[in-house]
Parts: sequence; C-alpha cells; structure tokens
Amino acid sequence: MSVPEWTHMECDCSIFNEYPMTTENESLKLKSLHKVLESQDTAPLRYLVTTRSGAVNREQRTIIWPKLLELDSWNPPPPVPHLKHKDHEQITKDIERSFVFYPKTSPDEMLRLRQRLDNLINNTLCAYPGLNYYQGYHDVASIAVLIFDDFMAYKFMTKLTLMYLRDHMLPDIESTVRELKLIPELLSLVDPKLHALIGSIEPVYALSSMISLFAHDIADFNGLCLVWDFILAQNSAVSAYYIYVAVLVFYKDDILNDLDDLLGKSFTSDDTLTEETELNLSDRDLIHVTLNNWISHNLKCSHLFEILKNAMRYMSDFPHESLQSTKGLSRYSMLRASSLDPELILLHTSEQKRYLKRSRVSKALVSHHKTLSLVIKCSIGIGVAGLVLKYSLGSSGFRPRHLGVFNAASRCISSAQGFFETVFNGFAE
Amino acid sequence: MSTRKKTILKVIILGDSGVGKTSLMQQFINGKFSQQYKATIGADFLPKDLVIDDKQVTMQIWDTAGQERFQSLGVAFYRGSDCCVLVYDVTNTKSFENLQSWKDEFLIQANIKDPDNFPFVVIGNKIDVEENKRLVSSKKAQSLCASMGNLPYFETSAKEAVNVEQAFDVVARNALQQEESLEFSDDYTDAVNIHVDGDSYGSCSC
Repeated sequence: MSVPEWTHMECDCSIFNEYPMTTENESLKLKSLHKVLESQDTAPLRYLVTTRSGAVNREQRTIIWPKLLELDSWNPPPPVPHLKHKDHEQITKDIERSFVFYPKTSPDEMLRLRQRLDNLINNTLCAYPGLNYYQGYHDVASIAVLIFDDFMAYKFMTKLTLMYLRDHMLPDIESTVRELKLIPELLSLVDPKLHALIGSIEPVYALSSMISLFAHDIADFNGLCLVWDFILAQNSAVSAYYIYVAVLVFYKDDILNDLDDLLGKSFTSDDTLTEETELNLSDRDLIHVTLNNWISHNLKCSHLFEILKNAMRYMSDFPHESLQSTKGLSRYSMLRASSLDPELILLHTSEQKRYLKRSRVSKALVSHHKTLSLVIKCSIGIGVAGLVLKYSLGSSGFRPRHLGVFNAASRCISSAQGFFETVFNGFAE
Repeated sequence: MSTRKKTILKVIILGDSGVGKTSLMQQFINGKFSQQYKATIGADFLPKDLVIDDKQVTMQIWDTAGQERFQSLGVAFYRGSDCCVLVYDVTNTKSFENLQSWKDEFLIQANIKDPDNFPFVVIGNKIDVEENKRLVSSKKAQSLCASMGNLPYFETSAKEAVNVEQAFDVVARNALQQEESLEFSDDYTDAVNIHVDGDSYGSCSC
C-alpha cells in the first residue's frame, strides 16, 4: 500500500512535530488520539501516529496498535491447549535468551514473562499450518508480551505474523534473502554514491533487523516502539526496508568515516566513490560487519523521527511496486499479495520447493556435466556456423558435397537439446 | 590485489544453537562472560591482535547463527577462512552428533580447495556443569576427532575461562600456517578467485 500524498505533505507542518514538544501540545496530542480512535476511519489515526512522539506511550499503544492492525475484525483460530510446535526445541533455547535489553526486572517476573512468551510463540506458530520458527521471531513476540495481555498478544501476533513476517517462516531462508535485495536496490535510487560503495555487499547485514522488525537490534524499548508505530501506521511490511535504507543514508558520513579508518582508504572524499569502487574479500568483510552492527551500536533514538520521516519520503518517491527486486518476488509473498489467507504460506512453500529443486538441478547439471555443456556449446557453434555458411553458399549458388556436415550439425543440436530436456525434466519431476 | 601489511587470520566458529559460540568468542576477546547474550542472527566478527612467534597478526573471530535455516548464508562469509572452530555442548548429545555435518557444510560453502589439509579445531564447551549432566564423554569426543582427521580437541568452559586461551592459541597457530600456505600460492590463484566470486554472485541473484 502506498502512502497517501497528504501524509507526507502535512507531516512536517504538524504542531505535534515540534521539538521539544510542549506539555500543552502533548496533552493536545493525547486528546486528538482519543478522538480519532473513536472513528471507524483509521486514516487520521495513522497520520497522528507518524508525528514526532508516535503513539506516545505504552498505555496508548495497547489501544492504538490493535486499531492500526485492525484487530477488531480479526478472529484467529483459538489456541489448542498442550499442542507443541515442531520447532519447540529451538524456541526454548531462544526464550532462555529473551528480554536481554529490557525490562530490568526480578528473576521471578522474568520467569513469568518467559513463560508467557513461550505460550505466545507456540500458540501463534500452531495457529496456521506451514509456519516455521526462526531466531529473531522471539524478539518480535517479546514486544507483544510487554505491551498486551495474553489474549490480545495472541490476536496481535497472529495477524502480525501473516502480514509482516510470514515470508521469513518458510522451511528455508531463500525468500528472506530475496527480499533483502530490496535494500541495495532502494539505496541505488536514494543515494547512488553510498550504493557505489556498499551495493555489491550481500545485504545479509540487514537480516537481523528485517526479520525481527528491528527488535533484535534496537536496545531502547521506547525507540523500538516508535519504529513500530510507524511500521504499523504504514500498513505495509515493506516499510521496514525503507526504514533500514533511511538509517544507512542518515548515517552515511559516519559510516564512511568508520570505513575510511577500517579499510585505510578515503571514501569520505566525494570522487573516490564511483561505480568502480573495487573491494577485496577483506574489505567486504569489514563493510559487512560495520553495517551489521550499525543499528545496535550507533543508532540514536533522538534521530529516529528524522529517519522515519525520510523513510516515508522514500516510500512515496520510490514505491516498492516499481522496484525490480519486488517484481522478482513470489506472487504469494507478503510484499506482493495483499491477502492474508494463511493458505498463501503453503502455496509459497511449495512454489519455493519447486524453485529450489529446479535450481539444484541446473546447478548440478552445470557443475557436474561440464562435458555435456561443452557438447551443447560446440553443437550450437557448429550449427550456427553451418547455417551461416549454408546461407552464404546458398545465395552464391554453390552447393558442395560436404553440405552433409550441416545436416549432421543440426541433428547434433536437436539431439543435445532433446537429451538436455529429458535430463532436466527427469530431475525436476 | 590483497596485499595487506598486517596478516589477518579469519576464523569461523560453527556449531548448534546454544552451545556457547558467542560466549567463547567474548571470553577469548574480552575476557568476560554473561548469562545474557542475545541469540546470534546472521554473522558478526570481533578482531583481536596477537603475536604468534614474533609475528603480528589480527585474528578475526566470526560468530555465526546456530539455527540450521541460517546455514546457507555461509557462502557470503566463509570464503577466505583460515581456520574453522567446531563447537558442541558436552551436555547436549545432538550438538555433538552434528559436528560432522557442520564440518561438511563448511567445506562446501567456503569452497575449500584442499579439504584434507584445512585446519579445524573441535571444542567441547560447558565443562563447568555437574558431572551427572555431562552426556558426551571425553573419550567419545576424542575418538570422533581422531576419525575426522586427527582434529585438535579441547574441552572448555567459556563461563569459567577454562582452556579458552589454550584452544584459541592452537586455532591461531593453525590459522597462521594455513594463511601462509595460501599466501605462497596466492599469485597463482588470484585470477581464479576473482572468477569464482563473479560466478557465485551471478548465481545468487537468480
């Protein structure tokens, strides 16, 4: 879903964007939020939530987030008691490492929180067939535990999962990897110079932030909530990718400075950043690590509003529907299909399986049958040469006896092609 | 192309989720232990400057995610490694049984040219636990390491800083030896490496 024009137009002008916010303005914002919550139309709420302090505080968020996610009309299947998800072993390991940043609380309370988290993750994953657990999902669910009671946390997580996370929950990570490619592409549009330096690095550096909707990396609870206010207000999973790019661009100078020091080169001077920036393996590793840790080490919550505003601008300037990386995604992907039918998870999974099978077959054919590929290349070469010769000789009226070689060549092409197809189909089936 | 003055030793730590990869790295690099490390997602490294037999080196220790679904990302990180540390938890039999598959997967993804001579070091972590909780015996572990090609084996406690230095000392020495043997053949393989890089990026984007 794209951002309505007026959202971005008016965002800067609102008195609720003034900094620092006066007490009067804050109470006025709270009143406005209560007023718009009464309305059926969520557009005014979505607008207010994208002003400076977002949905303001935890109490407001318990009411506002369900409204933004339109949970009134959301009825997930009731949880089945005592049902354990197949990935429960992994879930247990991660729950032992949950709530690391916050809250600071007593061991007893921590135990209760973790028990609630365990139930929430387990119930949500069991709600729809085909969902696989991944590390980072526990970071997302822990936010729901801190904001909501068990009933609302389950409603919230089931919908959030289908709308914002389901592509990361297929049996393998391939669809996530494909979605991460949105980041370099967006960067190439927003900041070609920064892209010239980091665009060729595999965007795995963004993985933890994208699959946890930043919960794995932002250590400040209020800061993270502000990001979620924005993401939920956009009503679109792709907004997280725009925020990520906005972070990179916002901190561009600092990133380049750090890379200057680490790589012993000068990226800060403008003319060194060209499309031909050459990087060796060690440079690439250093860039990966710098970006990988950028949010957890360097993001300041006082910068978040600027960053989120920039992200909104990028969303309207470079809508994701027009990006090549979006076009390359499955039609069942959460970034393309607006439907939340849980059946899409299964369809996406089987499409993914077919794709992986095909790519394994073609890789196997390429790597293990180099001879076959050589035969095909030679056949095609001979065939093309033959046709050219045939055409030029034919037009000059000359018909030598050796013309038989052309026919042999064409037979060779068709037999090689036939063989290739048989093998390929055999594997694919 | 890659003539850095300082020798960089790239070391990858692999093993099942929760065996203590992050704790081992933190203990070795920063000399500290916490009960509260976040689960690692993706891959991250910390550097440590060392002197090995009068030679200045920087060891980059790469910490990785233990969940199987993240394994395929290794292609992006494992290349250029000089040593691989395989970690299991002595209280978790499954993590021990998976060592071989971590090793195999590493060799494939790192595109190791001479797998028989690539240095691996095996670590059995969490030996601080009570004896009755220990499920994998030293004997069993040693015999597996012998069968995997006489791999060096250490038993550690990242929590109590037992044997961590010793294990990483062997890791560093083996990595340096590997790096020096690669440097020797660098002139001949550089062109080929560039070609391989291009190939794999091409195949990732499809």
